[in-house]
Amino acid sequence: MTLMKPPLRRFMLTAHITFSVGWIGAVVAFLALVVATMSSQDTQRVRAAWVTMEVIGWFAIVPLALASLFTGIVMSLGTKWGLFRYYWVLFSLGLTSLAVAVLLGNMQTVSFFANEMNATNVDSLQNGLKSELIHGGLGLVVLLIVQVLNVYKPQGMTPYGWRKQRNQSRALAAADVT
Amino acid sequence: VSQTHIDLNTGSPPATPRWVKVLGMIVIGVIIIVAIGVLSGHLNLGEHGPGRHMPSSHTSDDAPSVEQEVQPEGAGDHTMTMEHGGEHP
Repeated sequence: MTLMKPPLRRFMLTAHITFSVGWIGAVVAFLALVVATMSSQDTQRVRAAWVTMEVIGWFAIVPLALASLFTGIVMSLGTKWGLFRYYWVLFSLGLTSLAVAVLLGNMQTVSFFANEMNATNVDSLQNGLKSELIHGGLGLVVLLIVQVLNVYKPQGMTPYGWRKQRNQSRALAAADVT
Repeated sequence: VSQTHIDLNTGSPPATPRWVKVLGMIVIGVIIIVAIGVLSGHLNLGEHGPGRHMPSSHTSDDAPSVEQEVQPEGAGDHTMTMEHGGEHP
């Protein structure tokens, strides 16, 4: 495994933090729209909210989520942490991948409601908003958990990571002896 | 060096930390609760994928889908220029 040099590592870390925090901010904006519209009985207002949610989703949340996942994987592979060596990286990868998968699926629903401009009953549009509140709320909780894991980096090495480290130590020890 | 050899040869993988067990159980528990809620119909998270847009798709009796409200002749009207995955007729 080739480790990144410090300048490249710092650049990738900056990009990863930017994308990750931006993702959280975009989800908060999405949720603000949902909450502000949920109690509205104005059909035009609810329709406008769905259209805006679609734009925020496809042009902010999805790109930021994919960029965050990509830079996170690159950072893991290019540093000592690896992808499967430490539990906190494993959880971050798993939870982020799950969040991206649910996001991409849910955006199909958002696009559907955003393009149903002929819906005459505001209740049907608001039923969708309840679903978005659950999706967005749970998604935000997952993102905050990942953020905490990435900052605190709780200790704990996986059996795979332990074996890799043991093999590397043995190789170094053998090289010292010879 | 010899001490390192002894530790490496006789050591075993470290025990799984408590936080991993706790967080793992929470994640699995949430996934199971959401799955049970969706399957039993108590939790409506919406349908995903192309099936969501089929005219015959219904999730529950008390939550009419938007398709039911739409005028058939206006189904192709969109103000947005984006099209995603061809899910719209």
